[in-house]
Amino acid sequence: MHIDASMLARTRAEEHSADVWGEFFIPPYFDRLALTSATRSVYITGKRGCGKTMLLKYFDYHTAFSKRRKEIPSDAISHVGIYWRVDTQFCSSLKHRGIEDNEWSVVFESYFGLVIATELLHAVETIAESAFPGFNREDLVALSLPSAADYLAEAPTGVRELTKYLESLRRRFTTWVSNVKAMDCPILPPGREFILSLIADLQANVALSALAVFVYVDEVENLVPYQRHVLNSFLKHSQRPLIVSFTSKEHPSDNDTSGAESINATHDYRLVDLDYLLTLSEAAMTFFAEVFLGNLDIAAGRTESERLEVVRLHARLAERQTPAYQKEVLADMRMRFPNMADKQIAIHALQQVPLRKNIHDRISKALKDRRSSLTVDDFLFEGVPAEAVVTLPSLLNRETLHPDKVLAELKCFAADQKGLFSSSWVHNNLFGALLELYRPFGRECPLYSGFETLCTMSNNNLRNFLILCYKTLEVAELRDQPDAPYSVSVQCRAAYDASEQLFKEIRTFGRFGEPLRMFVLRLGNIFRALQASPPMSEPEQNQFTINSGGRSLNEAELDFIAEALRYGILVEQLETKSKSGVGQDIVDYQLNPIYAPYFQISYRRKRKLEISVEQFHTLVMGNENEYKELARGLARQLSDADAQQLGLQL
Amino acid sequence: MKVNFFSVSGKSAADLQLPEDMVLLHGEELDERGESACRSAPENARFQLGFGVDDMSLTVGTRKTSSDSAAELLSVYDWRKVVLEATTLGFAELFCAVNALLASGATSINIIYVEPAEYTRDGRGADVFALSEPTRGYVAIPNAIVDLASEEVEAGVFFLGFEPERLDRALEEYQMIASKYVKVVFGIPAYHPGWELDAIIPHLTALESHKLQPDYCSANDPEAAFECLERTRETLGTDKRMFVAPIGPKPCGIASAIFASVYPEQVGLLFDHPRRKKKRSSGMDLWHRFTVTVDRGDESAAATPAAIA
Repeated sequence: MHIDASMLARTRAEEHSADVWGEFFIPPYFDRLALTSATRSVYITGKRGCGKTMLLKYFDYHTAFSKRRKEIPSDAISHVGIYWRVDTQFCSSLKHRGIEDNEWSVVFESYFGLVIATELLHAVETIAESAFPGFNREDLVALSLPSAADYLAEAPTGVRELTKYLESLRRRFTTWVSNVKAMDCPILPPGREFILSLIADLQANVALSALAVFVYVDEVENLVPYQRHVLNSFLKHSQRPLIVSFTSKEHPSDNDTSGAESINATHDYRLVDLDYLLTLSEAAMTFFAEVFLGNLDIAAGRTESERLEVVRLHARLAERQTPAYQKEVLADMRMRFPNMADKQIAIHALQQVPLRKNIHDRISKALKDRRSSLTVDDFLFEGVPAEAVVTLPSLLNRETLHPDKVLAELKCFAADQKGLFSSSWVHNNLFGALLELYRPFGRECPLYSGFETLCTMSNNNLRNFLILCYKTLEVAELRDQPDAPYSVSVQCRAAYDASEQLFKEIRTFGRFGEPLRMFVLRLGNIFRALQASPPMSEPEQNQFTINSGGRSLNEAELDFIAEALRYGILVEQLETKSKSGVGQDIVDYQLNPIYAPYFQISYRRKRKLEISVEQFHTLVMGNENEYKELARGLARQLSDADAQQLGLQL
Repeated sequence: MKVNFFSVSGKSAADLQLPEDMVLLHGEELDERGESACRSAPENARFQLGFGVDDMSLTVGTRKTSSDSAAELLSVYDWRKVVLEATTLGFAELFCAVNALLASGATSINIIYVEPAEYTRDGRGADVFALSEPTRGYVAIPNAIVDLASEEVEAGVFFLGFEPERLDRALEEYQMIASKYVKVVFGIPAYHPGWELDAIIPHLTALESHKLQPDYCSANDPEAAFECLERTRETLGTDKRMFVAPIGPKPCGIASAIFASVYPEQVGLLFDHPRRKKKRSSGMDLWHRFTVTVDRGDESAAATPAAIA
């Protein structure tokens, strides 16, 4: 099967054209959005990679009135979407420069009006070219927009002429913004009134009489405050036929308007959290699988496959929610991405000479350190279960467990699957022990395989999931094993590659990009060091909580946490059991499991590290020596040689 | 509009035939070559320029104003005597100065630049370089502002160096760039053989995952960079614009500053204002003096925005 890999590399919505008709897969929460029938604004939030931009492109007029769409219902005119992603560096230049904010505020409102009015006219042209009934090119030519001249003296009345006129005005406006001291500002139309007048003119045509314009402003959180306030005012006074909505990575934080009012979720907008809706649908795994399999069909040239037909059509959403359908989709993915049970991995590991030797050496060292008279061979007897053997190095290093007792339990477990190995030791320690066993031997621990694992590591994030899958295809192709099912080793290598790519991307995450990357590096290394400590008394630590210290978190630290949450580097979790049982652990922060393969640590949410405010400060803002001192203190059970290998030695 | 580049190169300032009565506009002295370059003028003939990213201001010595008024600020200096010290000047300061001098009627601009013997790596033998501190990101520079959200901006050129995160961040934060024709230019030949790989390899991921057109021009030749920009400008449709992101070698930045100044209606700048690290390079290699002459001919009207208000 030939796959066009470049199609699969497009994991970002912006890499698709504005018209995504036929490329958008209806998400399971689609009916809950109710955007086309909305009577007031919405505030759509969703983390990076959740499918937010693709969704908005679907609702944008380029797609809704796509030429590729064979039939368009007449009520489509009651939701003409305009998706506007602001250029934040341009908008931030509308500040300072010898002009007061209140003057800029008027300019920004006009700029917004100019942009949306131009887009509206483009939308009308697109509608005329589409299959929308009752409005064609002749109707477009016949349309007259007399109101524009009320605001701009020389404005023509024809749609195409007015579009050109407004585009020219926008060019003059941009030139003025660039040279505010050398030129006069061109006369600009007011924002809301101008758009409403154009809409009223357009509604004079019978086919457009129900026209309602829905503007979705993306990245609204990155605008300067006065601009937010201008747009908040638009949002507050939104009603058909002009409704302004926002999309953002985070929940609303600045609710002021340019007047004395403020906006709130009860009266002025409906909050739509896409990540939450996906969780609520309980169909995230199926949806992710559908997107992957659908894209695979597109990349293979099967653009009209039954699978694509099902996921593209809103009318077939209910069918996709039946257990039989979901079972079939998931079974397909499990076949392509098989996993290996923990016990099988343990057996497999002991069959490999370097890993077996590693276990042997660590058991031997532990027995020596404990001054035990027992030998390694006493433990590695015929028929000893592999899953127990893998946990032995850590158990034998624990002061509280006598080697004789461990051996007795091992024999009991080997004989009739009873005792502490059966009840808790294997369950609690095997996963961490396997990770640690494979850690020194490269990047292919079999635990990072299987469809369910991919879902866990992607942490409800579609883009991360797709990157994991596409990396698998890439590695499989390189190893000349291009067809599914993909071997466990291929998947594990791909998981590392995907994790590494996403880790490197952190640098690009806004103003704290590099500090966030450094923080993840430090935190991941500490979790890895804790995993490497010989007794591994707390296996699978990949969360932390801040529950002690001589002060509260300061503003800079809180800002940093907010930014880490915003970019999905940390995942806020309800509190897990506190080790000390004291202090108020308000919240736990899990390192996003997508970074687990890069650090060779666990992606499962299990145990947490309790740190103080001061320790957190060092993690985020401390210099290299301070960090190493902290890491060495937290992983104090590490030998100097191990600490050196893990880069924690001062 | 006719722009010509003349260059003189040598092993020290003495080889550059700099005017004795020059006024040197320079930036922060961060490393050995920067200190040496600044010492090419007597102390009382040196003036430091600084661009304020937060308020888009320009400071010359102790005088500060909006960088929109850079021409007024620099009008106290006779452009015939001014030499811009590009080793120490950041790109924003360099553009403000070039644009202001041209607005004041300058027909030629002298710029000096000193190549380093070595750039500082992030640890011994490391692949990555320690050149910049984290920044607040892309911020517009007055007189060369461009609205990337507009369809009138149909092309862009990135000059690339050793820091791939700068391109990555632009592509991440300005995703509308994906719909434009974007050229990424590597400095080849580089200052030293082998350095071109340090620029290309870290950018391979971005080249693979975005539709970017690679191009090349000599790293230390502003004229070649200018011609590279001209090739893109010539492809622009009527009333269309382009952006230039000079996040690579400084000579390409010099070309970008001249280019944006002479074509203000067609060209905007995209720049991320890195705080350059102290000791970011060591040693010195070639010294250059670039003299750029601008003959406006009958087209001077086309460059009106650069006129002093």
